[in-house]
Amino acid sequence: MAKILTEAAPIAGRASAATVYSRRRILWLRTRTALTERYFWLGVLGLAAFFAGWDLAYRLGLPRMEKLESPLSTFREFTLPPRGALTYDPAFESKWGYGIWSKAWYTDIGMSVWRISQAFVWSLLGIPLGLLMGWKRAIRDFVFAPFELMRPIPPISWVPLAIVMFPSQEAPIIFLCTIASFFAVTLNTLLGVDSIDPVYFRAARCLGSSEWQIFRHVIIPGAMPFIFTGLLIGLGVAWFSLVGGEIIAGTWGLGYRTMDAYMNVATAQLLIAMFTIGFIGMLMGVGLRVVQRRVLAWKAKAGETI
Amino acid sequence: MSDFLGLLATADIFHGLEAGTLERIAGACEERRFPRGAVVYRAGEAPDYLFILRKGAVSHPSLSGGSERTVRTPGEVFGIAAAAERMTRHAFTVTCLEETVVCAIPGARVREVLKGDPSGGDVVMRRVSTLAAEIETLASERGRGRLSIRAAGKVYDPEGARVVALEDCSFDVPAGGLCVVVGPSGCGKTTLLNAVAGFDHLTSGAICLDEQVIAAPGRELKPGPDRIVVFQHGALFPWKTVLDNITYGPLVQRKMKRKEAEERAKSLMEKVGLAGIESQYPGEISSGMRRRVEIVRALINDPKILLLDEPFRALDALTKSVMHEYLLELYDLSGKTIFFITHDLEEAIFLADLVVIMTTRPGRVKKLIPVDLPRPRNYRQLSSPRFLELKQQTIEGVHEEALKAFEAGERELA
Repeated sequence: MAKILTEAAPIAGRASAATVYSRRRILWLRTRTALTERYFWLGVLGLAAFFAGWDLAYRLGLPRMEKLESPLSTFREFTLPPRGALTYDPAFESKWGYGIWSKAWYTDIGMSVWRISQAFVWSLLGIPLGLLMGWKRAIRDFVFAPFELMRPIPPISWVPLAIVMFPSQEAPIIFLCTIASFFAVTLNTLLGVDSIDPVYFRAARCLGSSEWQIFRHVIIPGAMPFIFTGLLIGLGVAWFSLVGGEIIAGTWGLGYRTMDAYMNVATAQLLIAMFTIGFIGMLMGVGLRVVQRRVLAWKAKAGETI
Repeated sequence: MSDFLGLLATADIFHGLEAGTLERIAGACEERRFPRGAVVYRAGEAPDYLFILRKGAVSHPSLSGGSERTVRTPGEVFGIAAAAERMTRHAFTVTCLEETVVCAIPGARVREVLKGDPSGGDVVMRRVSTLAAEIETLASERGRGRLSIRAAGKVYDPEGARVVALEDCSFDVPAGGLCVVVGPSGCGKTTLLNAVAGFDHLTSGAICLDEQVIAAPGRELKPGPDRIVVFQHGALFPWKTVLDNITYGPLVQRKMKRKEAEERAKSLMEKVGLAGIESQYPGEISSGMRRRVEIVRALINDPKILLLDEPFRALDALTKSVMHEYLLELYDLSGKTIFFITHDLEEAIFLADLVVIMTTRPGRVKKLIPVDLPRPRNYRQLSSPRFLELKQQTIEGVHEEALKAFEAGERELA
């Protein structure tokens, strides 16, 4: 993204150094620049190569790969309606009925996203905890030992405990996701506070700040880049545990669907669920990065990569 | 004559006088021209003339109120002590910031004419006395910021390995003085500055700012806005815009409302040629500009003393020379005490009233060299015989220490 910005600059400069462009024009300029960039087309090429390699491996019947579906039949399965919905032509129907025509697919997405979102909100609690730990030595010393004891426990091994502790359907899954991302968020926030150059604390004291003002004006904004790193990592690991949790405790959701497809030996359905997870995870990451660029405008404008 | 009359009529202090009275004053007026950098009069000199500005700008507190340290509006008056009764000295030194034309009026003549004018003379006379008293007060406020360092010592003793960073260090910086401390790396200059700033404890001795002890063994560390540090690598908050950085001090101390602070910041920025970058982030501006913003961020708090820790070290030679002139201009305008650390000897002599040479570990005062080069200073003085003579003296002092530090370094390596 940072690159696109700098690449767009000469185009703007060509008109006149002082030209001010509308937002839409800037968006168009950026898009145009991106479309003429090599890295964009390399990305497209990489994606094409991935699917071509998969297809080839399937067609050649390479060991292990013959158990898969071909990308084309997976795509057909994903996009065609189930029998009887439109026609009875076997060439235009999906076998398992799991794809853009099925309610189940949307319900799964909705459930998983809803769970992830709740877990994400809960794990935001890691931000104040990390900030407090970074701010006051005593809080850190008090919290750090139990924190470090809990942190290495893999989220999956929380599953039985989660089911015992939360006797409902949703809560254990959300708890599992939260556990996973909470540690990532907290630890990165703490790291963020530690990363602040001590000179800013000195400068703030010199200018007459109280402890609280230092917290507000130095610690929070100074740790912000790391907080976002933590949130991105947290989001990623929340998806890990979501799938784990749904496999064990769910009746809906993309993770549950992968397990369900496995039980029914519906490989295409399994692949659809997997790629859906990948795609939605990617979208959420992109969304978070958009927010990040806004919040860390001071970094982006200074030409630093974020 | 008639244009003097016009000028007198626009001057606020003579408001209310009759045309005839003004004419009698105008009769004694003469025009004087000064080049940029010239001194109109010095603080402490006997006041003979008062002056009305015709063109240009001079460093003198504005009589029309506000915290302006420059007179630049035609018709403004300075040197009022000349017209007041029983004032025996000028309170400020007035230098010309650009080519300046003034109208000089003999103070005795003004008094004489005003006393003889029954219609409004006594009102003006009282006005003159009040203004003169105000200027005196301003001058005495300006006198704050005297730094005395008394037998200051600092021993770092983390694991029994006594490292003496500073030993029996004593000198004074008068209020409004510019003191530069030079010495090889590791001579304890930064330790000294940290003690003054309130970042680090002393293990012996004391440091006083005016009558107040600011550092002594066992004393609580208390950095504060009365002594602000400008850091070696800069410490503008990268997450705040330039304007937010500058207004930070007054706002967190709750000394000003946001609007007031922003106005003040903008006027300061305009004065030092920084207008137009208010909404930019520090990462977007050049390193020279960042330094200037940082100095403005310090000055807006009206500190007693400004502590500069090798602030121009990372700048290239050209930017550095511009920054020197810039700092001196701010120094002449603000009249703050400045405590400056460097290892650049030319920089030290060019800026300082007093150069303090420190010995290498343990850091002691080796030599105090008062610099008597006239102010305002400019780069022509770098080749003046007096400058070279002072430089020679300084080099002799420092070279020996640098050699010692170098040899000590060699031994540590071997």
